[in-house]
Amino acid sequence: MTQMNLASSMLLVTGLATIFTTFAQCGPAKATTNAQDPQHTKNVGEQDPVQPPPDAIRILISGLMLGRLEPCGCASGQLGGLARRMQHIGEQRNYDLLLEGGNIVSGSSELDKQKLFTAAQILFTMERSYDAVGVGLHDLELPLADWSDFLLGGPAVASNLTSTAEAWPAKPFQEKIIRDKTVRIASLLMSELPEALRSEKSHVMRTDPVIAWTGVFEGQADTMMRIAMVHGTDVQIRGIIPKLTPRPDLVIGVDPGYIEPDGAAALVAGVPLVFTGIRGRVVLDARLWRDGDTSRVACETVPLAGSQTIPGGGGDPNVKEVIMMHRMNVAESNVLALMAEQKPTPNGDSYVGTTQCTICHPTAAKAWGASKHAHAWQTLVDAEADPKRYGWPVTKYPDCVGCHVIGYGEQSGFKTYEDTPSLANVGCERCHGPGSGHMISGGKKKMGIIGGVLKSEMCAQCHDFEQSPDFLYTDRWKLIEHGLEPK
Amino acid sequence: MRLLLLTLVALPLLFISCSNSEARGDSGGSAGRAGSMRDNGHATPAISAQVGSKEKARLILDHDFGIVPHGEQREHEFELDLSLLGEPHVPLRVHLECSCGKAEIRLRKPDGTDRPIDGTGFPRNLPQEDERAIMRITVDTRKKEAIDLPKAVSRGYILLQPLDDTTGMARIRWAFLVRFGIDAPVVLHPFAAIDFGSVAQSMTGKRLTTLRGDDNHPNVKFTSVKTTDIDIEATLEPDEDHVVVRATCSPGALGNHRALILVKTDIPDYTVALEVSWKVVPDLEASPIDKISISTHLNKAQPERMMQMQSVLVTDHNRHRSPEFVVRNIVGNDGRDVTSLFAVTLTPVPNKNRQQRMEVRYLGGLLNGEPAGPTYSFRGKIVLTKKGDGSADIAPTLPIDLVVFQSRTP
Repeated sequence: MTQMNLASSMLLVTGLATIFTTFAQCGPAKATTNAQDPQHTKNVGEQDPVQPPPDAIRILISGLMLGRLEPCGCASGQLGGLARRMQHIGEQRNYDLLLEGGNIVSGSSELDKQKLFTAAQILFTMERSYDAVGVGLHDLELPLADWSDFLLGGPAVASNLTSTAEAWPAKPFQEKIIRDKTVRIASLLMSELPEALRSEKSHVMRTDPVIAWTGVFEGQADTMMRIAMVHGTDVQIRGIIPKLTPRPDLVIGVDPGYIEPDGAAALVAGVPLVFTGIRGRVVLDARLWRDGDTSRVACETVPLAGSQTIPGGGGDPNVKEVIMMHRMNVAESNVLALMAEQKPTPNGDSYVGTTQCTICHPTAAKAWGASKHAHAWQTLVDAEADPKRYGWPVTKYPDCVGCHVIGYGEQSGFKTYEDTPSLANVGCERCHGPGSGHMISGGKKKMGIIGGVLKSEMCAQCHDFEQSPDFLYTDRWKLIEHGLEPK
Repeated sequence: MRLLLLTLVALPLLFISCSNSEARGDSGGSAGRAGSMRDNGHATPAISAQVGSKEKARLILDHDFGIVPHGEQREHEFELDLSLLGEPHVPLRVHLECSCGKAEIRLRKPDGTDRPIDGTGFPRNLPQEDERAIMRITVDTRKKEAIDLPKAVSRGYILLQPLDDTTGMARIRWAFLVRFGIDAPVVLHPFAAIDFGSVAQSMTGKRLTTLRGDDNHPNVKFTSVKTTDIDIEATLEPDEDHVVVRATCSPGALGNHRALILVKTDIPDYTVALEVSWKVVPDLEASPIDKISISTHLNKAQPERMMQMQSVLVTDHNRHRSPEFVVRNIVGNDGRDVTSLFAVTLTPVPNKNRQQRMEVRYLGGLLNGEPAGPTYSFRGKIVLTKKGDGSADIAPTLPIDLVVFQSRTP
């Protein structure tokens, strides 16, 4: 019995499995022409369940990790993380291809560099190494030498990006022979490069993705399987598919708008299209084969859930060790302080600390003092001390600290607890912005919500779909409700 | 304007809008920023006051499944009145933030047959004259561990695109909520799953947890136990008001494994399933891999700070031995002993009593004064052995590949 059949049987018997299945197959072509885009011939996905043949190529698809090495842990039941992902890969044993869309991290900070190094260790050097990783705009934010070094020789592919730099690590394609089939993987970037990358100094150039795609397969036999990882919006991705010659067998959309991959491939001009999802929460188990001239894909989404009763939530023990090593390195190299005060404040004023606000706003301060925001820092301290929850230096990890203090990363904002204790906790200025101008003007300079965003959107900066999945603004506002001081 | 009013009202009414760029259609140019969902530069205010209360009520999609017994499945269908959105909007897809829930949109005919939407903004994904748009929510508690979960809210949204929008820039989200809790008839303590972690080949993993009926099922009987993998054995031992589940892992093939322990109960059709995971590893292990690569200028010593980047964790899982390693030697593939050209430290890892962290630094001297070409590399092994473990000839060794490249950066 194969691993897959075993898993299915287990699901039937008990229903408890981390994998849930939506095997669905894009149906036979029923071409319709759309008035919006005459070239955009599309087959309606009938999604007939079809069992893939035994020799179908099995592909693990992920992407857009955006620096989420592990779920942050501030809500129960969070999905994702490299430890669970690599455990899943290790359990399955018969993946033919591991493909990562790209944008492994989401910036160029010191933390991003260390995250990339750690992710690359896990993805490219451990027992089962990824076969290709696409290149997105975020990957290019890092200085080229750093990105190249920290990638650790990972199989980067960027078909329509070129560089004259010696350190450029990406190839126009990656290729693998799977059983008797040759599979070639390309990666296309739909967006123009940002200004900073278009300078002569950057050494990076973007070419037309359609031409680049054709070049990757020029002179190759039609029997070669063709996979495109395409960075862009789904409209861009769907728009380019009909223009790609030769026709891809599979297009993997790397679009941050798709929080999770769909459980079935769409068909665009006869080409199966799937998406990676974001943050590595749900990965895609796809099987690809040709049925005559038709490319077919069967998909299964794999939500990477962990146990709610096991400290750390499960996952590959070796990967967990590497991630723990990363966390200790971040603490030891004082990345928290390095990333403090890196950008100006939203209104140009300085942070003064919650204590200053309470002098003139005692009623609001009282309401705040009774809220969890008032001891948000202590939450981190407690979590750090509890080995069943964290047991690692959470108070020195920038991603965690940012949501438990005031103004981290901004000038005059939180640096470390020792340096800026008055800016610990989610105080007034976290939502209302730096208060020095307001204080010095005796209140004449009015304060609101930073940037004039909706109050609910301000909350969403920390209470997002992953960190506070049950967050309802209308309910939670009552817990911190406060108004202006009575006159 | 009517469109704006109607479509925006539901989101802030129900929950904070998941403010990623897709709703604003700018995801392509700001990939990761949008994905992070933390960039909230330009929110559009809701104008709910201008929407009639009747329309508002019809926009609100909120279903409470109540407390669902563990092991059962529930389904609910919302009928989507797309006319509330004014101009024609095509449903593209639906997202539900719940790992045991599934949401799908179907276009249903009066005879009950239905068809899926295909994720595109084309007119065929609008309900035809005789069709209704249905959103079906399925919650399957079997995908959760057998533990009580208090009622919580799961958020979701339907992504819609105006029919005349060919760019995706005018997409909107129609929010919905699903509420449910789970009542498991048993109490699993302390664990509802069993994770052996690393199990060394020479060792046997042992874990236990306990089972008892909850307050509503105090007399539940646990009648038998079996596992889905021959490497896992499990026994049931009655003890006062609970039953102890003892699990033993006898390691087989190297690598990750997963199985189930199935405890049958006298509750009709209810079997408690404990997920078991483990990883079989060699007794002496280096992670993440048994290799250290160094890129440096070969004619000089590396700065000390580089040691942190050039490290592996080494573990002796055999508890019958001391956990400590020592360096036996460092030797090139050509047999040359280069032990003196590297500094190697082995330090204990906090809270990991079987583990040490090995850090390596190059001290210079590999070239012996000769110039190195840009493609020069040294390849060899760092050979670790066990401290005080008898004769050096019979002591177990852990070889770790060592590669030193000539750095290409100035």
